[in-house]
Amino acid sequence: MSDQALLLETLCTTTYTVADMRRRLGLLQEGAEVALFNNQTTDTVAAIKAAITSRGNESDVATMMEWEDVMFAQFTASNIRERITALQQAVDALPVMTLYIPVAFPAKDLASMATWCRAECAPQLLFDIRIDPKMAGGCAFVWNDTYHDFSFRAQSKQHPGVITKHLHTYA
Amino acid sequence: MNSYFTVELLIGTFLGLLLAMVILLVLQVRTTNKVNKLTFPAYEYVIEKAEHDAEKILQEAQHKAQSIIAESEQAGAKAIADYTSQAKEIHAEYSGALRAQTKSLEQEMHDMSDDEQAALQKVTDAAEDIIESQEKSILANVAKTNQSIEQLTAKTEQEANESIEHLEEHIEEVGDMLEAQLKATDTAGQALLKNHVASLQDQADKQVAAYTEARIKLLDAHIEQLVESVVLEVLHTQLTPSEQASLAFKALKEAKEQHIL
Repeated sequence: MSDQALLLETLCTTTYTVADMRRRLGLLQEGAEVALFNNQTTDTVAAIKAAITSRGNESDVATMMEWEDVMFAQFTASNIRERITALQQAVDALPVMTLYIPVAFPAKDLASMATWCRAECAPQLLFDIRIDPKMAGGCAFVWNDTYHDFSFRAQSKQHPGVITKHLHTYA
Repeated sequence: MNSYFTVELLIGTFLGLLLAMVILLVLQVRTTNKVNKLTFPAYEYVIEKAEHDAEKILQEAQHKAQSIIAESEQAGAKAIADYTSQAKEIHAEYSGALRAQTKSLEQEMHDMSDDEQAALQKVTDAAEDIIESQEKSILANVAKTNQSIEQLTAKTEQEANESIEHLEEHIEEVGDMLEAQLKATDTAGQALLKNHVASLQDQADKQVAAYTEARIKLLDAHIEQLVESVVLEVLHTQLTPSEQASLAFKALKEAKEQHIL
């Protein structure tokens, strides 16, 4: 596996949404640039980790600190721009499912859903999360440029009169 | 030599002539003075005589002028007297002529008046005759017209009575016909009315049914909207994010079962 593929694989293993992916990629670039373009740096990997820790949020830091050191050791002052650009292009080429959900899901549940979708639909799939409170329950998604609605609202509209029918039985 | 002699001769001639003229001039002056001295008394005498003659002539002229003026005054007075007498004569003559002419005119006017009066009398008589004849003619015409009107009235009355009788018969026929047609129309109309009422009833029933259905649908839509909002509220408040995630996961699995994923 090439260094570029290893980087992408590591990113995808721990990241499931487009927003997380872009934010962590930006954080990685920023941390690496701070560490690499500093004359006082002696340990590059430690310096990159320190820069990320000081700049990232709790979730991102916790996730990125689990990455192996070889991930951070790939960046040097001479190749960082080329590597980051290539990584961004690779991320942009990943398959994306736009997911409409009523509330923000916990990371653990989102990870479960993404893992299942990667197994069933496409490896390295990313969710593009959109919060829509009108979804009520369930979700809607865009896959292969087609919108599919599996929310409570859509299901109730597909079977008109069901609710009133049940209500009439109580009347 | 010859020319020198000529010049001297000319100069001598010129000087001789000049001397002669001076002498003549002096003689002339002296002669004039002497003549004046000799002729002055005769001149004064002539002047006095002329003045005396002039006064005489003037007196004569004055006498003549006075006589001429007196004569002219006499002639003027005579002419005025002549003119006055002539004017009186002319006035008298003119007055006489005017009186004669006036009398003549009066006579003529009187004659003309008599003639015109006679002519007017004739015209009046003729007009009276014509009016009388016209009156007679009009009365005759009126009598004829009255007679014609009476005949026409009688005829019209007769015809009107006949027409009324005819109309009454016709009205009776039309009435019978209308009664028959109305009876037929009434029967057909009743049938048509029944059919129309039945179709209207059917249409109204359909419209009521459609309206009821539409209202029920609208009511169902309201109820569903209400239930949906209640469900939305319940799901948002009662379900945890993990439970929501579980529902979304189930939805994805449902999509997989439907072969969408």
